[in-house]
Amino acid sequence: MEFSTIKQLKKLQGVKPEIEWTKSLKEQILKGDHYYLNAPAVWDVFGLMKRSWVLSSVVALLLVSSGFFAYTTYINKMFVQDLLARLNTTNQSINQTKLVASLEEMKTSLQVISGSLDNLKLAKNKKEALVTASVVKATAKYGQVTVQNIRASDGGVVDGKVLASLNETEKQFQNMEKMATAVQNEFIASLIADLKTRSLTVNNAELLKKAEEDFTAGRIEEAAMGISWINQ
Amino acid sequence: MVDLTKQFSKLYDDNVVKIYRFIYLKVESKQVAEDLTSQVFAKGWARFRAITDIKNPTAYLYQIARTEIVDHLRVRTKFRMVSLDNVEVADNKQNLAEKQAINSDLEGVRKALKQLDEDEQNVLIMRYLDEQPFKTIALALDKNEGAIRVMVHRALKKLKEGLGDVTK
Repeated sequence: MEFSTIKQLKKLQGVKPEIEWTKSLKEQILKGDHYYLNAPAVWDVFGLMKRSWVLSSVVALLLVSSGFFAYTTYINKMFVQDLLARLNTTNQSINQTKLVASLEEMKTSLQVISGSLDNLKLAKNKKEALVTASVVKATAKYGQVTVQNIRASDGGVVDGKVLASLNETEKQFQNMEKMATAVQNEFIASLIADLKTRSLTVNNAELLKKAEEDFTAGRIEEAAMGISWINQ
Repeated sequence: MVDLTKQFSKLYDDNVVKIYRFIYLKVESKQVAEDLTSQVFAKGWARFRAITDIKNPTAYLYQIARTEIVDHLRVRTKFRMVSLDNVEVADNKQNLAEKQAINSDLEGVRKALKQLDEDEQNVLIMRYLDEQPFKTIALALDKNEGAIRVMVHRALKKLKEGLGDVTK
């Protein structure tokens, strides 16, 4: 054991506080007079505020701004709710009007399409038939776009029955488009076949060859264009 | 409550000098040591009343003291070194020459002690100056008794070497 070292170390036992100080501290603590024992708890905001004007200012500012925020939020909520209520009413009426108008348009378009298809089947002039086929396709597409737009804007306000009608109409349009495309393709194919049996100039023969290649590759518009350039 | 006051009073009487010394040897300023000691006992009293089953109140006081010392050393921006010439050595009957002799001795030991690391200083102070049992030291420093015993032995050896350097 390091006895001499311990003996040296024990000299530090001479380091002691003043007796009077220790007595006074004890009294302070047991009476609760010590500043630590009197310090307000962290949650005692008012107690802390009394001690610090900075803290008081910060708390006051927070109270005022949160009050203001709460008030404006309330006002905004009331205002927004009121606005929404009005908009909903308006929207409903607007949407329904739009729907009715659109449905009428669609009806008209459908009639046009039906009529056009009839015309197509009876057409003798190929150019006239091509133009009609294009109108049919455009109308069918127009009809689809209209249905999509209404769907995007209705936000669930649309009546179930109306929506069902729209769905049905959309299906019809899609069918129409398919039919129009099929008719157009069939027509162009028949035109090509018909032209191939004819005696053509070199230039026209080349145009026909190109049209046939375009048609086979699925470039229907180009094929139709090419055929329309062939002079008869 | 009366019982608690009595108990704490005894705890205070038994430990105030030790805690003061424990802190003083780290902070080297009488005023700071007094302030921190008062914090330790004020906090101790507050917790003593709130928690009824502190297993080793003495060790608890040392734990608070360690925390106070760490917090103090962390926040201080300027540290005025106070030499042991200003320390009030308890025995007022001693004459000045004797006081001077004691103080220069103390200065040597203090310097040697300062060369050890924190835990080594703590175990030596608590074991040889405060005469605390190993169990209390272990609780206060949050280590097991075996480790404390080993640490005491090693720290003493290092202190001896340090004292040898100081006297050269």
